[in-house]
Amino acid sequence: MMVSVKLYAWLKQKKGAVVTLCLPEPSVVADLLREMGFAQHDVCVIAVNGVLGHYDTPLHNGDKVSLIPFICGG
Amino acid sequence: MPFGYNGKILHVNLTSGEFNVEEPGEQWYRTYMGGSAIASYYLLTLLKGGEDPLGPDNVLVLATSVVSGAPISGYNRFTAAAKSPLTDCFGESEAAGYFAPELKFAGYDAIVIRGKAQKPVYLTIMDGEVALRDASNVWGLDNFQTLEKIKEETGDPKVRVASIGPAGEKLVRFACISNNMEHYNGRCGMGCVMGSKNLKAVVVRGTRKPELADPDKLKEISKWHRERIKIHPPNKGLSTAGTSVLVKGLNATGILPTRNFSQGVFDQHENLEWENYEKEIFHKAGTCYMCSVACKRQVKSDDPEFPLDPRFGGPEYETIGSMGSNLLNGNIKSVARANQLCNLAGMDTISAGNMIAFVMECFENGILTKDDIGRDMPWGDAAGICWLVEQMAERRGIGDILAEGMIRAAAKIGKGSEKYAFHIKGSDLPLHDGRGKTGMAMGYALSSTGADHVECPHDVAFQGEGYKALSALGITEPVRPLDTDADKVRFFHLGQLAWGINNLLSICNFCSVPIHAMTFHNLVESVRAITGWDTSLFEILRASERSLVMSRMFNVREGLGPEEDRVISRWHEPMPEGPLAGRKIDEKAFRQAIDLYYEVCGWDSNGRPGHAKLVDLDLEWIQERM
Repeated sequence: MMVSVKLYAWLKQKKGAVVTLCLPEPSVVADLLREMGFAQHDVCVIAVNGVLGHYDTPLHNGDKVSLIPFICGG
Repeated sequence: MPFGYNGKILHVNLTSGEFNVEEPGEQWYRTYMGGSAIASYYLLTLLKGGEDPLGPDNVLVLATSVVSGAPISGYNRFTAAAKSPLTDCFGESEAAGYFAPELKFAGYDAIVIRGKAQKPVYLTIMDGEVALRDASNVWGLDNFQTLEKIKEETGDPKVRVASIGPAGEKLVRFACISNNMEHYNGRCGMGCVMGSKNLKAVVVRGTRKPELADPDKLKEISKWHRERIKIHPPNKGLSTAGTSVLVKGLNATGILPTRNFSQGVFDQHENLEWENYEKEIFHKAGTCYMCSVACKRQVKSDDPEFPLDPRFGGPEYETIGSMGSNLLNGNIKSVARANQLCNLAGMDTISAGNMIAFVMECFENGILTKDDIGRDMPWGDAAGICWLVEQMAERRGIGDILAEGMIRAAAKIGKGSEKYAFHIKGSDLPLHDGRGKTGMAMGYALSSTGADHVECPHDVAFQGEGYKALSALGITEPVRPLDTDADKVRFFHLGQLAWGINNLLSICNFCSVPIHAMTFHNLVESVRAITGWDTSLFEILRASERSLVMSRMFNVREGLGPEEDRVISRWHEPMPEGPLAGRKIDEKAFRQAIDLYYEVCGWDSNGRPGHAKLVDLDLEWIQERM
């Protein structure tokens, strides 16, 4: 399946603003992160098709994923 | 009989040795709720303004909330507040751990401490029984020795001890309060206030948990929260790597404070990131009362130069920044050693690191010499950092000047050193660079405690679809981290009130709204289940605003004006390199944003909440105390 990934902040600097990936079915967000070379703890916010998600959110062909990195503070 | 809280505030007069118990009633609790607001209430009502923070007239408040100690992750913090000896204005610092629940179980929701003991004492509260005990056996001991000795003297190994170390006794103005050597009320010099009162420790032990209004409902929410913590990305990050998870992202984004806030990238950042932390010093994870995030870290090393004992705590992100990148120190063992020395002596690691950055930049520019300091102090001197921590804690040599905090130290050193002495309202800076997150910069500028990184959720997480975490507040568009426009002011105002809930209700930011596993809906449901109140997000946000306005009025009474609501000059200069090279905060645009914020808040052009705002928040009584 093909998934479109929009990246923010330093994730974007590393991989580009928008990346299209081919993933095997079934896949979840954690698989996508692994494929892209990111650790799970690199990511703070995950959205799939505009809905906030998490590592286990299932992915389907044509999904649009947004990844925002962990740079919040505290 | 209230649900969730005791309905009792303990008042302690150290001068007379007297105690009394106040029972304010449900209306008062519902108005102030806890933590920051209860503390502000007593600082406004018991102080008149103009007091010496180190004099007997200062008041120290240790306040939990109506929900503290409930069996759910993160409901375990308390506020320590007083007029700050570092800033001479409103001082507040939160700590998690086990002290707050234990205080609740011991029978009190807050402790209000006045006066000064004639000789060192410690306060014990054991299941409602209050006593002042001779502290001559523990005065002079470090925080670990104090903890062990008090366990021995009370005969109870399960006591929870909020203590000061030698730094607090010697009135280091950024001395902190240590809670069982694992958790710290770090900021604003609350340990210094304890030292000024000859109060070595507050010891609590309790077995009577306040009854909950709807324990089954809370159990259901707690279970949901625990499950969500396992999969919610920011919590998973903290569970995996602790707060050190931030180093990588901040550096890669170009906003890791480096070389006394002059740069945003550090070439040795990998040495400070979790992967190396884990490999070099990690021992095991730790946690707080009932919390399944477990972001705390214990560290261990047999390195003879930087020995690390797991009992003395592991560095959090702020310490990694303050003792690491901001000093060009890429030695994680040195960072962890400096952290442990601060913990034992009882000094805030953020302030201590900032003072060292100041010294290093003065040394680089010839303002301070080897003779002045007692040794060379170049950037990145891993051993020198630990040496200088000890000098400050003991007030030895130049450490005696540095122990006075940034404003006073720079004034004493003179010779243009003020140029390198970065602070806001007298408070040195937590380790974030506002040039890459302007909402956070507004928090630094506007916080009543001076530079504060937990005044508002940091912008970056709410760009893109991240804004949806704020949809319950009515924010319907992505936040732009680098802007200082009206949208940013709206985000900041709402974000400040939302994050203020956590200090109000004494809930850990790492478990709560808006970025971590709790949702606004379930947070409100949890307060309803604990207290039985028919409450709402509206009422809780109003209490958060009440808390904000009270601390602001405290500072107005101390004479602070709008000119104090600023950021450091360095952030108005372009970032020299890295992903944000050339980026700066435009001074004029930032001032306009601050002025607009006053208007949004309903304050006057001097940033002062007026009569109507006080009426709106049921705070008219403050006018009689101005």
